[in-house]
Amino acid sequence: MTEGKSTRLNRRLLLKGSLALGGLAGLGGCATMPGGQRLNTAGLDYEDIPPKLAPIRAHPDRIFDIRCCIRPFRVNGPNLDTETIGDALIVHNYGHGGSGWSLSWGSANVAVQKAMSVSPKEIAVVGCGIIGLTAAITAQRAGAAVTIYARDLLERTRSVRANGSWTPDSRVCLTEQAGPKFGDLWEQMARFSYKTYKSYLGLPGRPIDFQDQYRLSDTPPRPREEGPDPNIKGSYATTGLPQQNFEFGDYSDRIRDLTPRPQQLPEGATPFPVKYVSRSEIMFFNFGSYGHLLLSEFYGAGGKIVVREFHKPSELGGLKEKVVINCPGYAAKDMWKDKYMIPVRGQIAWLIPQPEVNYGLSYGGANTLSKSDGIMLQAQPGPAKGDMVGVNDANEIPSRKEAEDGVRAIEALYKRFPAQSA
Amino acid sequence: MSPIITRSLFAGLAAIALGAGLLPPSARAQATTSQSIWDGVYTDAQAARGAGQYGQHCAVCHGPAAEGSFVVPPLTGEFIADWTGTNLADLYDKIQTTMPLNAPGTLRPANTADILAYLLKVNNFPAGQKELGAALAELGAISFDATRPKPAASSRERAR
Repeated sequence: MTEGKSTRLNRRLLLKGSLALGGLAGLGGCATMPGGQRLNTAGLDYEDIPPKLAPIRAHPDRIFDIRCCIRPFRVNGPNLDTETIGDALIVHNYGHGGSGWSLSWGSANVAVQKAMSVSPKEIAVVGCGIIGLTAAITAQRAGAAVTIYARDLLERTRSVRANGSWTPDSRVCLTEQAGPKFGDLWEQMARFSYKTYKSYLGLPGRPIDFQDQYRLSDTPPRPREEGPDPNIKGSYATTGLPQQNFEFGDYSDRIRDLTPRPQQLPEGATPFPVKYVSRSEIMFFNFGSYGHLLLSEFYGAGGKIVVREFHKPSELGGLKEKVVINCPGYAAKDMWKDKYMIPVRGQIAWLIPQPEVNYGLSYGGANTLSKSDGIMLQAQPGPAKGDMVGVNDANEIPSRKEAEDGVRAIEALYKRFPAQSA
Repeated sequence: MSPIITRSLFAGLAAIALGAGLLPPSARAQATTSQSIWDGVYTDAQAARGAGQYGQHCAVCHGPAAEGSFVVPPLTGEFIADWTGTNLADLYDKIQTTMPLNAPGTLRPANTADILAYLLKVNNFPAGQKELGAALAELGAISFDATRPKPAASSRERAR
């Protein structure tokens, strides 16, 4: 991207010499910028004037990890059914799509209530991703002695290759296939999770945190799609795969009271060199500190972990625990022959942590969040948009090019800021 | 005091205890295994073919030497612990129906058998004079044992 007309306005907002003045925190944001330039904060209440915004050092050589994984998307919504294998009660808890982190506690609550209905002293949990770990801790809180059986512990599961932010209805189901009753269950899980996360806020290492997120655009933001795209004829019902965003479950209106509205900011109110800026706040999960905290909590309550790979469902019936909460994630597609599971590929590039960056961005198809364990950067790799990105793509091999393209989109944004020597 | 993290051995034991009537075909075959992967159930030539197939279909994720990565399980070491107590029909079925991850079910059965032979070779199980076939009944009769079974022991006793 080259500097063009759209940067003219922001030349006035340039932070000339800001590095010398204020270091990385010098991108300004107060009404008066370094060098005497002013931001256009007219019309904003004092408390809504954007704070100082440090730049993201978005350069491809600062990518220190690329993580790719398949989201366990299930067209009917998460499987929370029960079945019996041998003399064991199996409570399923998998298929949360892009909503696993967000819904985990609420989903665990539903699964554990079913598990506790037969009053077990011991419960087995299969899987140690975020769904398995939260189910295990929830079962401990309900009074059971819990053993987790898993091949990998959290840090090597697909869970930590996700984006890790509050997205409770991201690819959680297809509306028609999940049916009209799913909305109530979803809302119950979302609200239960949100309440649980409150108890992890403000702890050392910030396991759960909030951040401003700036949505930037050079053109007027498109209004939210309210109906199906009439140009797309097929659907999941006719093709076996979702064909457009409209088919995916959207339940966010049910919990509008939990999150603040996005706020449009006047042009020039932030140092970002774009015409359209809106700001929202998003809750997110710092995988490192949160993951360690959960594992410590599990061990602290007497939990045990057995490293084990299961090859077929019948093996669950042979566990010594006769109540099993089954949290295999995407692996359910093969092991449980779950025909409702569809892979959804997602990739995250991680830039070296910048604690001074306290906001996230959305621009040019890329999203960022500044987490304690790195700058999370998720790009939009192809023409597909929204929920359709990565659908039916089971390729889990990280793409360096996709990662660099995403970083360059953000890099190009900052390059439109004026040079410090100007 | 027991360790916080342990590894479960002999995953197949539970299946055996369940009784043959409840088991899928591959597990039933396990109860009547007559051979072990220690008995020279593949040939070096087959493993060499399998190495080529492995390089083409598997190495991109599992690594050139089956060493795995941070997020992809190795096919050596822990792999033995994970599969001990099963039989080759179980492993064949896993590869044939779930791999490669982005194109499951696309391997030809003979190629899957060759890859299986390569994996046995990489893990230092001995080669023999007869090639490994792709028939589930035949594969189900070959037990996957981490250590060489004692000649007189039945599979059930080995599991203990």
